[in-house]
Amino acid sequence: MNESGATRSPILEMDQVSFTWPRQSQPVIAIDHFAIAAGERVFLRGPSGSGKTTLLSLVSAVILPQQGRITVDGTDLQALEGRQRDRFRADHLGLVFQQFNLLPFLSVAENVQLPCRFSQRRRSQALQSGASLRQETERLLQRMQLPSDILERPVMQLSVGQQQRVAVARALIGCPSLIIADEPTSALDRDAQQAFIGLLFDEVAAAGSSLLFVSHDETLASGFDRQVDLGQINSAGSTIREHDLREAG
Amino acid sequence: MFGIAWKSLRNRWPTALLAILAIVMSVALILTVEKIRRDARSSFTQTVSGTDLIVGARSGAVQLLLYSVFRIGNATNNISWESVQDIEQRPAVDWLVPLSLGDSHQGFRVVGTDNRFFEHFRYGDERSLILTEGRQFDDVFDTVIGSEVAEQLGYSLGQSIVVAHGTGNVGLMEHDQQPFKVSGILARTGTPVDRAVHVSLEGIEAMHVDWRSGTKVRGEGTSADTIRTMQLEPTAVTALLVGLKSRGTVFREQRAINTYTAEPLLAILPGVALQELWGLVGVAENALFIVSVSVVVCGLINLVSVLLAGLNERRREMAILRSAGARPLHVFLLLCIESTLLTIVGVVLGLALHYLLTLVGGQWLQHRYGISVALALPGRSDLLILASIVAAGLLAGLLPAFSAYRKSLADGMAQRL
Repeated sequence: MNESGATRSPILEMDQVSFTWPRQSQPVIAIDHFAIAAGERVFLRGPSGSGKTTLLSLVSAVILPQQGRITVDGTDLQALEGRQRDRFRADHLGLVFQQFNLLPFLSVAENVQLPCRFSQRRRSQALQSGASLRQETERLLQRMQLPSDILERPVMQLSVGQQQRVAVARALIGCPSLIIADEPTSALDRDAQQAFIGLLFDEVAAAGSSLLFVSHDETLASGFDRQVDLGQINSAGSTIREHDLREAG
Repeated sequence: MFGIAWKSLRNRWPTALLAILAIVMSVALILTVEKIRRDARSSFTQTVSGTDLIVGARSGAVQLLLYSVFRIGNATNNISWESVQDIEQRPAVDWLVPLSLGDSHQGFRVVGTDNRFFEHFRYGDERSLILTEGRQFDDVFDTVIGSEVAEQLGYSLGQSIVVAHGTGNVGLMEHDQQPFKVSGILARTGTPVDRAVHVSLEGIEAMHVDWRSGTKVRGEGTSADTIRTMQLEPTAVTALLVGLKSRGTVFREQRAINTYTAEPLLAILPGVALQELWGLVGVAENALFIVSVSVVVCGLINLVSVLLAGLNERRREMAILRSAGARPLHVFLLLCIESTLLTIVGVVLGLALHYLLTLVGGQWLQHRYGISVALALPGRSDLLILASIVAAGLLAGLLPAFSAYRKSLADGMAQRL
């Protein structure tokens, strides 16, 4: 669904990246090289304190590194001004958090369509995929195996698992190049976790997006194209030394 | 953005409602205070016109103005009939209208006067009194009633009425031996005339025929027909409205009356006395206005505090919006829209409450103080007040908006819970 050229160039590339929070002496992130290819699904294992949140903030251009270069979908994030970075994030990234992804005062459909309010690109891509925003929303929700009568329901009536699947539908609408999922399954029970990841895989593939899946739970890692330990790539991490480092194929 | 702001507010309706309520109250208060202030002024100004001098026993100018024209308060003393005749014979005097106050009927003041009152009294824009029904005084016991008296007591022509001594409503001794009859009903004027029962000066004397020193003499009382044959020249009146042949002589005549030797009298120019009254009332008006402005400010402070207090709980909401692609500017706008929306809803409801208050309170004010408070579309100054409140609400909303903007910049998409 994306431009065919994107399959060759990486979706995310980090080079010599170092980031230090203000008023701290030690960097929290120091990454030599880390890349995600187009369409690749990467499992990033990161226990708390390993700089996981900082890394995601860097990738989503909320903060800029003091050194190094981050490229997302061919765009150098450092070259962007604040407003352009916000626009870029809205256009190219789909985010799913641990929980509370949805605005309680909007309906399910409105929540799913939220990125289309802020990104013209996401809107037009969503309209390419479906005849109308509503149809595309229905399609995505259906693909996430949610009942069709869910559209106008208030989100507070949904179970946590349903809420997370709505969040995925929102991240996927308008086919952003990179989906970032930060511990999206930690509020789910084990059976639901596997089912959730299965759906996520299918739809990320259907949308032609890449996936960066962050979790501390390595039992979820199977099935990903690649597993990366944040402690391994981040030489600035403090809590990661004692962990068993495992490289994924 | 507007839809999101609206839905977010609706989701937090109890706090939003409180914020709105504070604004509603303050808007209604400031509008009503302003309205009463303006209507009271115009109502007072409308009450006298065409009268060059008002003459009464010596007291304060404001007091004389209040009791003679607005029928508020009481006279301290009377003018003897000899003085009245003296003044009438002054060459500069064109006409005069005697007023004799002090009696009442069912809570409405009884005004003793004569037919010159209907001829010379002017109100508003030099308008004269019009009889909608009946005629002026023809008999000693004829009365001409104001429109509101007729309306509230349901009187029509020919109705006989009994007049009480004193000006209260209950427990007063009644002049029940001498029944008066409604001979005429006046058209509505929006002045205290509407609430007066006018009787002839002879009528006033007639009902006091059997009275000595303020109490009724025992016995059958004198019959109406006997009274008609009696010599009923009044001994004193309460005040005089004087019209001069030339306005240029007004100060000379005023001085002449003020230095009248036979009796201590006071002559005032209605316009000057009104100015003096505004000077007195102005302080209270300003105080009221300052209080109402303060209440508006309190309402807005409340709005800001409600929004600011909500921001912390809404960090998650902001983070979700940011993660879905909203820029900090969007968050800023969201908060601005919220405060403006709350202010506008508050202002609109406040306006509605103001009209309700005017509708309900207006009748009471009219009845009690003769101030006619009419329902009217908001005037220029009202719109100015409303616009400045909305502008102030928008300005006040900048504070939480800016705070949310900074927070969302600092928090990014991190969900700090």
